[in-house]
Amino acid sequence: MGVAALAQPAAGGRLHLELALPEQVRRLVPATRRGLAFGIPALDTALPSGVPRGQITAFEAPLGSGGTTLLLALAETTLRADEGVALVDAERSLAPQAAAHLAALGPFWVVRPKAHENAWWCADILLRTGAFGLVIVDRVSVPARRVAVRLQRLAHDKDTALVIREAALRARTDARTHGGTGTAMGYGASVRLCVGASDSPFVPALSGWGGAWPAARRLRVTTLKGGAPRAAEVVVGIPLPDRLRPHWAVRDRRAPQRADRRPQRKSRK
Amino acid sequence: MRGKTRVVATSSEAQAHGVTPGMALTEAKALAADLLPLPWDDERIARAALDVTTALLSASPRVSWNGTHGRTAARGHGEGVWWVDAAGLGNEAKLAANLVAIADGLHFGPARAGIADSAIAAYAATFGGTGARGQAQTHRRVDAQPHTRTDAQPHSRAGVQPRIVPPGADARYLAPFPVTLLELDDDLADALRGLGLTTFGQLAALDADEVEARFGPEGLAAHKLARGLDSRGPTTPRDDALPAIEVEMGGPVATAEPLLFVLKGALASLGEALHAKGLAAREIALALDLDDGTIAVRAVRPARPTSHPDALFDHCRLALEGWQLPEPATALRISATITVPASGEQGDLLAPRWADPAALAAAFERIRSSEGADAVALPEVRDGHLPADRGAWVEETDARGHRGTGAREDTRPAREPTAALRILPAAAPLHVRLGRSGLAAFRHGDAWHDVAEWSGPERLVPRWWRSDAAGAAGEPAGPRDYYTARTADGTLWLLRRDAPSHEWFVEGWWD
Repeated sequence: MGVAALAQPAAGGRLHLELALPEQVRRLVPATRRGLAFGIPALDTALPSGVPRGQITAFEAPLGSGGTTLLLALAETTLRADEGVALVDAERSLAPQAAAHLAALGPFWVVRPKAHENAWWCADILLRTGAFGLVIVDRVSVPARRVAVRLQRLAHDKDTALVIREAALRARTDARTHGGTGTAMGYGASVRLCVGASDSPFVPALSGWGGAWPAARRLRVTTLKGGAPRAAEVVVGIPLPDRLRPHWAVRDRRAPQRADRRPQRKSRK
Repeated sequence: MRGKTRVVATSSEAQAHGVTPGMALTEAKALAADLLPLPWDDERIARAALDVTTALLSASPRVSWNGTHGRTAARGHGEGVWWVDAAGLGNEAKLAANLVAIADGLHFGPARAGIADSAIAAYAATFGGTGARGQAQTHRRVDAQPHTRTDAQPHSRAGVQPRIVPPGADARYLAPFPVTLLELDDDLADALRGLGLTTFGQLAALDADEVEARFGPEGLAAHKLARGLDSRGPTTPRDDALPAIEVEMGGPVATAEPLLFVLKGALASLGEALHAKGLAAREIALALDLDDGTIAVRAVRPARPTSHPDALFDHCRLALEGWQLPEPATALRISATITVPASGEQGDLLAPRWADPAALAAAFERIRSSEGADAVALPEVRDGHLPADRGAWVEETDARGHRGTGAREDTRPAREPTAALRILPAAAPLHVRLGRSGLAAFRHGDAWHDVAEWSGPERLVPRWWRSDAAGAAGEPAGPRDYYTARTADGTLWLLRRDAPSHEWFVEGWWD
C-alpha cells in the first residue's frame, strides 16, 4: 500500500506531479463532490449537479407515473458508489421483488412504518445514524414545516441526501390553497423534480387474443427548482409476464386473434 | 472497625495483645493501650482484595475472594480469605507454598494456606496441624483431587506450614476444632456452649433434624459445616454485579410523565454502565415502589440486545404507558436482568465517516420497538408464481452500516430501467364495468377509472399442488385471472378476478 509520486515533464517544460494514492488514502483527500446520480444519462444530463447531499429533494411523481422506478435507479447508483441507502416505504406497498437486486449491492434497508405519519419519525432516526448517503421517504404526505426544518438540519449535519416523494399532489395543492406551508417550496426543498408519464400503447407481444402488452413508457422529468428548468425523457420498460414470454421449445397453441371476437360476452338463451 | 464499637479485623500485632474480631472497641483498647482503630473502608478493602485476587490468579485459574460470598454461616472468615481451586494443578504442597509466597509478597502480613475437600476444612487447615486449640493432627501427603480447595489467609499468623487434609477425611479432621471457628451468632454460640457442644465433632454427632428443630436454619448450616459439607468454593473471578439504577421520586407520582422524565436519565446511566462492561441488555426489570409499600415489576425485553439508551427508553416507555398502577409510585428502579456481550466492530481509521454498526442497530431497534418487528426489512426474491409471492420482506438482524464518500466510480454501462411493481398489503375489492371490448372501467376508492387498454387474463391457481390450497392470509382458493389495465391517466394496474366468486380486486400497480 505504498504511495508513489510520478513526476514527468509536461508541455511547457514544467513538471506535472501526480500522486497515485491507494483507495483508502484517497478518501481522505478532499475533492469536489457532486450530488447523487440516477445512472440514467438523459436524467443526469438534465440535472448536472445531481441530487444534492445535505439537502431535501422533493419528488413530485403521481401514482403510477414511474416515480418508484426512478427512485430505485437513484438508490442503485448510490449503492454502486459505495454509500448506504435507506428507503422509508410509508405506504408499505413496494413489492420486494422490485427492489431485491439492490440488497445485493450494499447496505440497503427498507423501513415500513405502521402508518404514514410515522414515516417522518423513521426518517429522523435514520438520518441521525449518519450511516446513509441517501434516505428516501416514499409516498408520504407533505411534512409539517417544523418536521421539514428538523430533517433539513439533520440531512445537512450528516451530509445525507434526503429525497421526499409526496403521496398525493392534491394535498400539496390544497395546503397551498388554504394558506398552509406544506409545499415543496414551503418545506425547504432545494431541488424539485416533477415526473409525468406518457401513455404506452399495448403492442402484441405474442400472437393471439390477450397477447398484447404495454410498450416501454416514456417518462418526462422536469426540473422545477434547483437549477435551470430542464426536461429529460426516460424510457422505462415494463417487464413481460411469463405467459407472454415465448419459449423456444414450446409451440404457441393459442388460436390467432379474430377481429370479430368479443371477450366476456355471454350467450343468451 | 465497622460501625462504632466492634472490631472486625486485626493486625497480627493487635492479636498478640489479645485483640480479636468481634470484640468491643473499648475492650480492645483496654487490652492494647496504643491500639490504632481505623474506620472500615469497603472500597479500600475491595481494592486490596482485587490486588490479592489478581496475584493469586497466577497460581490457579479459579480464585474467589470470600468477601464476595457475603457473610454466611462462616461469618468472620470474610475479607481475609480467598478460595483457590487446586484441582488438577499437580503437587498440592508446592501449590500451597506458592500461594503463601505470593500472598506474603503483597506485604499485607503473613499468610497461611490449607488444602482440603471443603472450604471449611481448608480454612481450619490454615491453622495447621495443631488446630485452633492446639489439638494435634497428623496427615499424610495426598495428590490433587477434584474439588480440592486451598484457603490462603494473608492477614494471619506466620510460621504455620500449609496442611493438606486427605480426600474424604474433612469431617474427621474438623472434629477436634472448636465451634467458635464458625463464628456463630451470639445466641447460637451461647446455646451450644450451654449444651456443652464445643467442638465440630460434638456438633456433627447430633442428628440433623433435631439440630434444625432446635436451632433453626442457622443451626442446620453450622451442623453441615461441622460435617465438612460446605457449598462455598472458588469461581472464575468476574464482576457479576449487573448494573442497576434507583431513583427516588421525592413523593408519590400518579402520572406517567414524571416517571418518563426520570426514566430517561436512569436509562442513560444504565446504558453507560452496560457499555462500560461491554454488555447489551436482553432483558430489563422495571420496578416501581408504590405508595402502599408494594413493588410493581415489569420485564422489558427488546427484540435484540442493546445498551443504547434511546432504544431502551422506547421499550420502557411503551411498558410504562400501558401500565395501570394501583397506587402512586414513589421510586423507580431499573436493572439489567439478562445481559449478553455487546457485539463490536473495529472502525475504519481511513474512512472519515465510518458509521458505527452498534448505533445503526440501536436505531433499527428503536424503529422496531415502535413500528413492529417487521418494520426494518430487506427485500428478497422468492420462487412464487403469484405476483404477491414472488418476493418477501425478510428481517435482518445484522445491521450493516457503511458510509463511503461516493468517490467510487461505477463503470457499469447504464441500462434501461424497468418499471417497479407496487403491491397493496391486501388486495382491494373493485367495482368493474364491462363494455363491448371487455374491461371498460373500474372504481377504486371513490373514483372511477376508465380503462384505455387491457391485457389478460393470466390464470393462476394458488398453491394448486396442495390439498388445502388457499391464498395468502386466508384468501379464497380457486383459480385467479390476472389482468393488466392501463387507465386514462396512464397508470398501469394489476387487477385480479377470482374465478369462483367473480369478484374483482386491485392487487397493485406499476410505478
